[in-house]
This record gives sequence, structure tokens and C-alpha cells, in this order.
Amino acid sequence: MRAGLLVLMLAAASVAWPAEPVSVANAAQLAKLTRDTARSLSRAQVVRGAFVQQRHLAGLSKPLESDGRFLFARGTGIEWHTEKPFDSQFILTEGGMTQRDEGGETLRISVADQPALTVVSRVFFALFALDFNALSQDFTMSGTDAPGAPWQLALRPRTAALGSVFRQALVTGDATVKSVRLEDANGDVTEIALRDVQYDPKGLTPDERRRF
Amino acid sequence: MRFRIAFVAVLALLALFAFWVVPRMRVETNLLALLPSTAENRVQLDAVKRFADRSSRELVFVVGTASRERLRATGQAFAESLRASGAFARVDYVVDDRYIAAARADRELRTGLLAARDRELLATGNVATLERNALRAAYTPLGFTRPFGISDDPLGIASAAFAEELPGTGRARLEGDILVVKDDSHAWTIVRAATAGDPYRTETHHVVMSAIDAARTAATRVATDADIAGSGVILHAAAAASKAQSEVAVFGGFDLAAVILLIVLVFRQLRPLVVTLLTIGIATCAAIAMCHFVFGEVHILTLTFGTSLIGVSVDYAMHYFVNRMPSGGSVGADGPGVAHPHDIAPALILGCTTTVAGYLTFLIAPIPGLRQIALFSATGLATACAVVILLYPRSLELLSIGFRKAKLERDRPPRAVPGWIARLADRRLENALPRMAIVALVVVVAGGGAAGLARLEARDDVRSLQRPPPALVAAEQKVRSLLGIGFDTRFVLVTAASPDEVLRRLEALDPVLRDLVAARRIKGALSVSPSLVSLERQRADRALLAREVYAPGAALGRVMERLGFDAAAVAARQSEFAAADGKFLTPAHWLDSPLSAPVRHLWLGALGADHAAVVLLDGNVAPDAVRAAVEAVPGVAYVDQVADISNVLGEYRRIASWLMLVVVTVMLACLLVFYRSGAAVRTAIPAAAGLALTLATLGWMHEPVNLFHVLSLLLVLGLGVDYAIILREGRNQQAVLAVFLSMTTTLISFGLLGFSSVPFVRSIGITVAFGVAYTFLIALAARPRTH
Repeated sequence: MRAGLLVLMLAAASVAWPAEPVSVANAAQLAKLTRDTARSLSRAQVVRGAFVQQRHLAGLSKPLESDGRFLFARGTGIEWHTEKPFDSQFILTEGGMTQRDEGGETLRISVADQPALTVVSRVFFALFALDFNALSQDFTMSGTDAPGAPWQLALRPRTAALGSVFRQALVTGDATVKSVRLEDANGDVTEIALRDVQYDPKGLTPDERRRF
Repeated sequence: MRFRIAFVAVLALLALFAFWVVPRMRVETNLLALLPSTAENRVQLDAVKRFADRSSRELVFVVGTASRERLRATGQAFAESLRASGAFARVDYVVDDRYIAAARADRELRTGLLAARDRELLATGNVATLERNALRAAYTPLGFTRPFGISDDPLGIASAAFAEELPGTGRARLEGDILVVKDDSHAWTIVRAATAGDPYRTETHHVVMSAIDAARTAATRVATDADIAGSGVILHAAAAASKAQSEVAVFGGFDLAAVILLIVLVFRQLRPLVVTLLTIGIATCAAIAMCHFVFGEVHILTLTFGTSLIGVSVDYAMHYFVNRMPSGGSVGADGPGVAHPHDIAPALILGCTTTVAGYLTFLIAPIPGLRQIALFSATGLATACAVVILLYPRSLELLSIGFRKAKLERDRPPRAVPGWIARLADRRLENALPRMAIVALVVVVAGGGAAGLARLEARDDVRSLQRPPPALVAAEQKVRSLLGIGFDTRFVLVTAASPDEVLRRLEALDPVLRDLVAARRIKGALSVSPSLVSLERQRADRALLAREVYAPGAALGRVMERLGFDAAAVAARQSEFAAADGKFLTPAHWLDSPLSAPVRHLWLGALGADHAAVVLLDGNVAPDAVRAAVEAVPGVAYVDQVADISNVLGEYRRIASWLMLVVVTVMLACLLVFYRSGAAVRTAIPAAAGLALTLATLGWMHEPVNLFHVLSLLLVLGLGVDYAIILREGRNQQAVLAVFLSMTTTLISFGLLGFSSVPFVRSIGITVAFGVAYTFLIALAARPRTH
């Protein structure tokens, strides 16, 4: 019985990890790994979609769950619009971040004032753009890929500074990015599932542009 | 007897110089040591000095390359090479996790710290806002920006306090673990270093400069296009010192060569050459020894200026030898070929006194560098004069016997005054030119002089004291514009009787600085506060936190409950806070922590009975408003040394100008007493007209006049008033030769200083050179008929 369970577990594991993780050392390897996503991304100016975020914190039995919509605009920034449990817009640009709650601006932090913010904003940007050059400055990357299964990219911080915040990030996807898992240094885990991801070769709508 | 005492005294001086002064001598290269002190009191003076000492060790480099991929490795190669040189006490390049690690290690001491915004929310009853923000951060990406996790710091209070105390990075962005700035063509990274040795010692300059050169090469090996610009006081000090050293060598060498050539040409004998060079040597040793004993050091610029001692001290020896010369040509008053030496001691003493008096006028300005120069020159001249009067006759006899025995010199009478000097002395302007031509010449010179004087303008700024090399200024400008941080020499000094009082005053200053930022009078400020917090504020913040956050049922409990934590988790946070009661962050602990590194140099610590800290201002565009605002806080002083120094220079320029008028008036009055009116005016004209023409020349040269020009004119008066007197009193040919030689050596010495890279040395050089030349020419033309 025990042995049977073990066999079953091994079988399950081999399904989840069809291939050994291989190091991703250049942009071509990253593009090959992420296949269709890379192709769609390369044509897209804007990526829109919905997300569900679950935060597993030490000392909490059930995760903190939020959902909303996101918008990634190449060269402009990211809008992370949490709709539940409350309405909050988080706008990240090269210069800093702004938070708007129920439409009113509640917080604005410039990157010049808070260098640590740069790290977070870079990680977010790079995850969405899957930009090898940007990612490889901060992370070592390895990927697993097998036909018929989602590709998975693991990112581990190169530096102590980033390592003190992130232990690793895992990105999974097929034709689009499906999920991102961030493991904090203190053991907290954040899982973000993305839905309805659309790659738009046109730019931002005027209404969207105003929000940045 | 007199000779023996003097001889023993000279030997004692040389022994003292060789065995006491030389081993202990310290050559100062700090240009700041030259500047007048503008501090209002002792504490301020010490504070400014300590801060300058500290900041002069700091260096910032930007390392750039067009290839972003190679940037990290290029910076790494540069930093590693600097580190390996051993010339630096600290080299910072890679940004690691030391700050966060230190903040986590100090968790207990930091539970009572609050960011300004959170303090305000809690103190004004807006704890609900804090709670709301905390809940949001748990669900939104904002939570990712926090160094402390939500379980450890549910309200984000510790994270906010930590984020507030780290200074910003200006335009630089953290990319990976290095700071990066981009411009049109390059990506740049930042390397900071602090020198291990005293930044004003030439040995430190050598090791630091060669370490930088090696690091440059190392960076170029990684990226061939590596471009490096540096900024730091030591780069200025090193450039100034090496420039000054080469100037001492070049000016001194030229001066000596000119003196030797002149002696050989005029006297054609070995003894005058040997004796004159020995005199210069003795005078220089005495001058250096005097500076060493009075100031404890000799400034490199004193030595640069001191090269002029060669040309001036040689006068007395030359007067002595000229006096022993027979007249030349056909019309000598004494007949050719026979020497009739006078007793020239009174004339030498008079000449020496007027020149030393000229130098002593330098003492009126409270500028240490100028005082050292005055003391150096006065000592050297007095020594040279004493040596000539006390030692020459006897030692020349002794030398003559020795030289003849060694067949170095033949027994022959001194050479006569050279023929061309004799002809010059015997020809007179009024005989050589028609009367109308002389009148026309005087009118043209007077007209040109008046036009030149009309163009004269004054400028008293610190640039008249030093002017850094343009390449260095350009590099510094590049570093500044890339970093986007514009700290300058103006800063705020906070002093108080205790360290905690300093912190309280810094905390009182914080809102004033924030208002100045809001009003766009400054871009920002760098201060020890809020990284280090006064005990008073720590106590108040703890009380605020205990009441509004950690009390049962207060903000902490409410937020943690909403997030789903159980009662035990809330209790754990509450007992952690309670356990830290009575534990405070102290200056001693803070200074040892990596967290203080970015601002540690601003904490000056104890200065006698007082304590002090400095606040730097970024982008100070409204100095008057900033001064008024910060000085309204007790114990706070706004320090602007550059403006203060310019004020001091201007004030003393005016004083020196009045002094010059007084001196000219007194001189004229004295001459009127001694001579009849016509002769008095005739004797006074050369010096007065020489001064006026020198000023006019400066006007034509568009050279703004500052304190140093005016003081040099006083020196010209001291040097030049002799010319007319000697020409009037002395025998015709010998007088003309003596004055000609004196003028020539002075002209050469000060003319060389006119090529100095140090603006004030150059100012003195050109002023004195023109001054003595004009005075000589006018004195020669206006000299009365000889008896």
C-alpha cells in the first residue's frame, strides 16, 4: 500500500516535471522556452488581462485573496487594478509608483526617494515583458519545457540585495503567461493566476493613457 | 669679534635647519589652510575643520561604457583595482543587503521608530488611515516594496521608518546590485571610495593617483571604451600640490640660473658668485625654519612664492659688490679704475627695512597663507641683509686667501662698472631728447595711464585664491550632472551642549527643510535625522505607538484580525513591543551600524564641550531665504565659506587701498621734510607714478583688482622707494648699476611668479614685476643731476 502510494507519487511527479530544468543563458533560449508567448509578446504593445492573487502568509491559515484587471504597456508602465476586496489602482512607471484608492490618489513614491522600489518595479516589468536582457541582470534563469505541457521559468536573484526580498519567482505559461509565483525571503508566497490575457499590437487607448 | 659671533650664529642656524627642521618639516598642501577663517566662534571653526577633514577623504567615480552588458564588470574591475591598491580605507560598489540585514538585526531597538508620515497620522488621530493603508498593502503589490513581511510588521510601520532613513540615490537607479545612470550614449555606474591616508600629504597623493590610474587601466581591459570621471577634494589637492612642486622647481631653477648669469656677466669673479649663492641658501634656510617654528608647517605655496626670495635677497650682496667696483667709462666722478667703497651698511639697513615693511603690510589681512608668505620673505631678507653686513668683509678676505692658494682666483682688483651701464648712467633723458618730445612722451604715458585706470575694476572672489584645473572641474561637473545631486560648499551646522540636544535641534530643523523643499528653494537635504532619532522623540513615539497601535483592541489588533491572524499572533507582536520597552537607539550603537554609513560623516560628535552635526543642502537656489529660514532654529548656523571669504577679501582690499594712500602721503611728507620741495616731489614721483602705471596696466589687461594686487603695490612701494633714494644719494654709475641689478633680479623672480597657476601668486607676480620695472624707468629718467 505504502509502496503503491510512493509509485503513484513518483508518477505524478514525472507528469508535473516532464523534463529536467535547463539553464536559460540567452535571449534565444528564453524565446524558445516560452514559445508562443514570446511570439505574441514580440508583436504586442499592450497586454491586458484579469488576475487572481493569493497571498499565503506565515501565521495565516487561509490566503489573502484579491482579484482585478491588469494592463501592461511596453515602455510606459503597469497598471494593477485590484477590484476586490476593494478598489485600488497601483500604477508603476520608470519614475516611481502611484496608488489611487476609489479614484483618489493616496500615495506617490518616486524611485529616487526609495531605491528599493526600483527592484520591485523591474521585476514586475521584466516578468510581463519576459525581456531576457532586463531579467538576466537580476536573476539566473532556468526553464522546464516538454511538448504538450506548460513551460515553466524559474528566476533566482543573483544578488544579496534582491535575495533579501525574493527567494525565487516561477512563471508558467503556454500560449500566454498563466501564472506567477513569488516566494519571499521570509517564507510568504504570492500566487498570481492570469486570465483572459490579450496581446494587443496597437498601443494604449487614450483613456488608458490618461491613467499613467 | 662681531664676525665670529655672526659666523657661529650662521653655523648654528644651518645645523638647526639640517638636523631639527628638515626631519620634522611638514609641507602643507591643503589650500584651505591658506583661506581666512570666517567662523563666528571656536566651535564653529572646529566643526568646519572636522567636516572638511572628513569630506576631503571622500571620492566619487562614475564609470561608463556604451555597452550596458559590460557595465557591471567594468565597474567591478575598477572597484577591485582600487581596493587591491590599499590606498583606500573603503571602496563601495555593489549594493548588498547590509542595510536590511542591519535593520532586521536591530529589530528590538527599532520597534519604537516612526516615519514622519506615520507619526503625523497617529498624533492627529488618523490611525484609521494607517489601518486602511495596511489592509490594502496586504492585497496589492504595495506590500512587495516592504523590507519587513506582513506577519512581522502588519502595519508597515517598521518598513516605513526604514525606507525613510535611507537617503535617495538622485538620478541613479538600482539595477541588480549596482547603481546605474544612463545618458544619451553611455550607461554609468557609481563607485565611492575614501582614502586611507591624509588627503593633504603628498605621499597619499602619489598612492591614490597611481591607484586611480591602475584602476582606469583595469576598467579599460574590460571595456575598451571605459570612461571614468572622478570627484573629490583629494584630486584638487593632488593637482595643486604637484603643480606647486613643479613651479617651485622651475621658478627656483630659472631664478638661480638668472642670478648666476647676471653675477658672472657683471662681476666676472668666482667669489661674488660663491658668496651670493651661500647668502641665498642661508636666507632660505632661515625663512623655512622660521615658518616651521611659527606655523608648525611650511605651505607649498609659500615655497612657490618663496622662490622670489632668490631675486630679492640677492640685492644686498649685489649692492655690496657694486659698491666695491671702480667706475667705468671715461667720465667717472672718481676717475676710472679706482674703487672708493662707501660704508653701505646704513643704506642696506634702510633698503631692507622698507622692503620688510612692504612685506609686513601682508600681515594686515587675516589670511594665514599670506601671513606665512610675509614672515617667510621678511625673515629671509633680514637674514640676507645681516649676513652681508656682518659676514661679508671678513669672509671675503678669508675666501680670497683660500681661493688664491687653491689657484681658483687670480689676484686682481674688482672689475669696473660695465661700460654700457656707465654710458647709461652718464646719458640723461633731457639731453638725449628735445624738450617737446619729452613733454609729448609724458602726455602720452599720462593719457594711456588715465585710460587704463578708468578701465580698472575690482573683483573679490575666492577664485582669486585658487582655480582648479579645467579638466578637473569638467570631470566634477560630469559626476554632479550624472548623479543629479548638487551638494555644494554651503551647508548648515547644528551645535548644542549634548548629542541628544543636537538631535532635537536637527528634528526641529526637519520641518523647516521640508518647507524649503516644498517652496522649491532647495531640492533636498541630507541629514543624520531621521536615521538617528533623539531620545525624546523615541520616548514620545513609543508612547504614541503604545496608545494607538499596541494597546489591546487598538490598530494592530484590528488590522491583524481583519487579515485573519489569530489572537496568539497579535499577542506575540504586542509582547515583542513591550519587551523592547526602555531600549533605545543610541548614537554609539548607530555609529557602529551599517545603517549610519550614508550620513555618518555628517555626525561630527564632540567638539570640546559641544557637539555638532552638519546638514547638506541639495540644489540651494535661494541662499538668502535658506539662511533666514534655518537660522531661525536655535543652535543652527548657515555656513557659506565662499561668500564669507569673498567678503573678507573685499573688506581687506578696501583697507589695503586706504593704507596705500596713507603710505604714499606719509612718504611724501617725510621727503618734504628731508629735501626741498622740488627734490622731494622728484624723489617721490617714481614710486607714485610707478604704482599708477601698474594699476593702469592691470586695467588695460582687463585684470580685475583684488586684495593681492593692492598688497603687491605696497610691496612695490617698499622695493621701489629705494631706487630713487639710491640714485639720488649714491655715486652715479654704481647707483645706476645697483638699482639696475636689483630691479632685474626682482623683475625675473616676480615675472616668473606671474606664470604661476595659482591665481593669487600670479597676481602678486605680475603686479610687482610691472611695478618695479615702471618705478625703475621713471626713477632713472627723473633722477637729479649728480653732484
